[in-house]
Amino acid sequence: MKRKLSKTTGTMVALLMLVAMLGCISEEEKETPAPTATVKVGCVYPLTGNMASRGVASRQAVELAADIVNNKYPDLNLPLAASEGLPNLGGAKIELVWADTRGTAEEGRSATEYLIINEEVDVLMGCYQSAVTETASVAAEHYKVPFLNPDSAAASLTERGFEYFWRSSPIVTTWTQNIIDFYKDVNIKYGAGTLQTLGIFNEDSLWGMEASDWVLQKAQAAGFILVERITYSRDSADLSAEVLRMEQADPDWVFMGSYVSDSILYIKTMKEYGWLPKAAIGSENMAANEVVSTAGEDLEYFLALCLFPQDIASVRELTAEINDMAMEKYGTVFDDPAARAFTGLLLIADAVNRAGSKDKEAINAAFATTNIPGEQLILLWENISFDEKHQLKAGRYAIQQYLNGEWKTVWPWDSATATFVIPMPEWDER
Amino acid sequence: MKIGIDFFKEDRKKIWILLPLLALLVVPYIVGDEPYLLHVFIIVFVYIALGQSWNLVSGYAGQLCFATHIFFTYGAYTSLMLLLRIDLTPWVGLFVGMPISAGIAYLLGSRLFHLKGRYFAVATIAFAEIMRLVFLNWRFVGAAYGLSVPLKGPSLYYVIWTSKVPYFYIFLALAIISTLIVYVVDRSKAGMYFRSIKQDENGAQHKGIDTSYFKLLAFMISAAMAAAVGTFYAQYVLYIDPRTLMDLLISAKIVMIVLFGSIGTVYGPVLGAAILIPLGEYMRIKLGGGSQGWDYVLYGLIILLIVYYRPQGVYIMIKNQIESIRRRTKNVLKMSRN
Amino acid sequence: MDSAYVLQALINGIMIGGVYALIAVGLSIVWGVMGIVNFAHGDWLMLSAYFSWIFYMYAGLDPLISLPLVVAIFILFGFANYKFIMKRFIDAPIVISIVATFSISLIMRFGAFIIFKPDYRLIKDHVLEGVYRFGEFQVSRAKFATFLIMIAALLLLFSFLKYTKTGKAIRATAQDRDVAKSLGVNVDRIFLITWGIGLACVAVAGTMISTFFYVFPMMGISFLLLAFASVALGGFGSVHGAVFGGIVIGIVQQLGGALVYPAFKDVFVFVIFILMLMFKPKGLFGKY
Repeated sequence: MKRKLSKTTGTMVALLMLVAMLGCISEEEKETPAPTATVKVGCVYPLTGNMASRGVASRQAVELAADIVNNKYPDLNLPLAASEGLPNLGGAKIELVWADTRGTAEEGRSATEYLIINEEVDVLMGCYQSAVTETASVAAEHYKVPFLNPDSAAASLTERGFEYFWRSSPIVTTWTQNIIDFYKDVNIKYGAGTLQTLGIFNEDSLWGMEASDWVLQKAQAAGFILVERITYSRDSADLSAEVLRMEQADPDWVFMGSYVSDSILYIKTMKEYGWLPKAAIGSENMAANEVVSTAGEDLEYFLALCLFPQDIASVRELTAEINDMAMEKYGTVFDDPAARAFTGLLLIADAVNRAGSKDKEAINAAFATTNIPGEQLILLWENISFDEKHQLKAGRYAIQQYLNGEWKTVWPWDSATATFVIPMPEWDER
Repeated sequence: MKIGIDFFKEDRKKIWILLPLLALLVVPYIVGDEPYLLHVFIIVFVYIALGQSWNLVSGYAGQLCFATHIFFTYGAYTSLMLLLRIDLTPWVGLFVGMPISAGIAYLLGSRLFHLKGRYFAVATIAFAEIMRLVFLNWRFVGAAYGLSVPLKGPSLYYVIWTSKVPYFYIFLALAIISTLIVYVVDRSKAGMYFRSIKQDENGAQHKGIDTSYFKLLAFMISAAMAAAVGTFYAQYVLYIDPRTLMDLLISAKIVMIVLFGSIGTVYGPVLGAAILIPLGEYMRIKLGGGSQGWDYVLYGLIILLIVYYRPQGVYIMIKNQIESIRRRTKNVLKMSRN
Repeated sequence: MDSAYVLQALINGIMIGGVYALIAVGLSIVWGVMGIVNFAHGDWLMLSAYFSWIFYMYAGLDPLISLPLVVAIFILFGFANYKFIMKRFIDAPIVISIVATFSISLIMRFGAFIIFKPDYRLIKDHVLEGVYRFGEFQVSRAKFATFLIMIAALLLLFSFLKYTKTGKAIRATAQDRDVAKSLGVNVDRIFLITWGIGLACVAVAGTMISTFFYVFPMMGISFLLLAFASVALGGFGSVHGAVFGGIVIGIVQQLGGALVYPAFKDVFVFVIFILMLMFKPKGLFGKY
């Protein structure tokens, strides 16, 4: 009995191990060496899982950017649009290689390592979610592959002292500061005391907690008083208790540290209870396409941060052109994170081009000297350049309010396309 | 001890275990520092170890537990917190996490073991969810921020390396030790008691077996094993947080892997993990990447098929197959001789 | 803390508790009669919500109108699910049936993900939009209607179980299968019907939920655990137990969240859940 047991198991296990090993190795051997006429950019994004819609949207943006670099678009004032491919590398084209993080940190790391080792990418970009970027970039750092992060907000990512990690996105300290600056301006413009107390809805992930912590810290530093902070779970089927409690605390303004679905649910629930603060602001998630399509007119008068305000297309030709291209190709314009991913790919192309080679050290050095002027950006930044921590220096957010079925920039006052409405009209007054 | 001696007495037959083990030992040297491949092996080892932990309490002692991932998390958090706060090496932190885990298992078990199968199972799920929400909001252990392992490597003291090879051996050792524990239990008197408790608890009690003692024992050992894996897992992934580690899907995966392999056997979990983990990774690469979720669908289908047609698990299925082939061959030989 | 606030939280709890009750009933009946813990229950909920949404999107049917249609479809699904899959697991060890239903759950969840994509779908402009206000309090029309329909459906079920021959056979089977068999009950047929009832209940819940909550592939999980707690509280196999359990769980959740600590609103539920299991595992009204 026992003898057969061991023999069987032994054979099985050995066979299995061999098969697993061979399977993975033969996978590798099938890889043909990439032609030198392409620069491989590994893209690490959540293509499946809860964040899949985000991953898909970013993918569309990145693919459009690659298309612009790889083909001739002489009329677009974007880096490398006029040429076909990368001129300093003999017209080499950008080849995008995608790997799915499934929205988890562990998968993100596996995906990154896969791209580095099996696909031999020259440079990486990703991953949208801060927790995933955290682990993915560790792998890149270990293998000394330049990693550009165009869309994660956790401040800690650029506090690690990494050599090969670059973040081309304003961080949580930037946009939370923008929120506070905005409300300080509101008090100046509309009279001190217009907004004094604050309530926070704090989604219980890393992102939510960090954002809420910063808003709180900066708000208190500016003299606002916290009356209620509610931590909640994004998977919650119902947010009545949270809204009820916030209504009870009755803050002047509310910060919603929420993702997309919970933002929608909050709006619905607030409507159900017929309650609104004087001003309610979310992060960039509030401006996501799904919120608009799902909440519809209930979204009126809510505020969001916007890195990529749609209405600036009316004053900015470049943005209008890209919007048109996106609309034609995908049936939708880019939202905030997609615009950053778009810009990120262009940034990568610019760096590789200036490096003049596919050597990772050269590319990494080129990142350090990036200086793309504001006119060549579809975003509202002054320029793209990095500080000594490899963090974007001159990022900036606009504050938008949803008015008459559209997001309108209301702050900074001088870039506004509409007047800020405060207080938010009650539900039954609309 | 006697069992140990028996093990080596049956030298020639054990070759079928020693051979693959030796093969495993040299894998890193054959494949080189191939991180993805090594990563797959490591995850296999992790799930073997966690699987054996679950196998012990649910397969042998019959107490259906869905909170293995929580004990796993306790180990990870305990050693990492000690590392971050008082610079204590995880090698020692390991031995703090294990007793804490076992202690909590004791508290939980002593209050809940009177529950029958499905009720106990569901209670462990509730316990797991409570823990997840607690950790998610508990600032002291980082709450939603999670904890990052300080990158002070490569270092034996800090259990951190840039290469995956040392981790390969550590997790291999964990897989071997956990299997060994189950092996010992399987052949020991305690194992016999576990089996009778599983089969018929009332009957066992009447026979004079202190069922509470043995159930708690199994549970505590299981919790300690899971915690040990957790300690090293934290040092491997370098970042832990409640959302990732305390996901019910992890326990579900453990259960499915062991069931697939053959629950209640020594080698079932080994087989289950060795087959399903690489298969899952392969499917993820081939299918999940572009087409969103096909790999999970296939995974679910495979498990459903096994549970439907061969619920005893693959290991026993293969064993039975081989036995019937032997019998038939023997009969054929016998007949041809006549 | 003013009493209006507490009262509103209480009302919320009762309303949402009705939803949990409806989901719990299906779970409870199957558990009580057949001894199977259906981990895919939440995903059947998700599927029925999608059906409701599909009928709305493509046939312009208001959920209230498509309700009977969805229920009918899911009774059939229930029969099929039992006949082709679950029948096998009737007397299987508990771990086997749990894993079986869990793999079905995975297939459904990610199958829905592939087919419908992860987008959150909402039914707007339906009959039940809006809110009822009375004094300082409000209840969303959709949730209120759900509550009423829950009561109606469960009264129906209760009478069915109590007064009809089949219903009595179901209760007999739940109590003692062998005795029922000896009395001439076709146990297999009873199981088939029970499973159909279980899914019918969840279909009512799913359709009604689609009127006030959004539909997405992973929505089942949020509800499943709360349904478990409701069943544990109310007792396995008992219809009025599930109602009681669901409403109590709803109240605990809402009051705990609004009055004590929102982050732990589910923790309160799970603690009650564990306490119930520790001290009264059969639930308050459970017979089996």
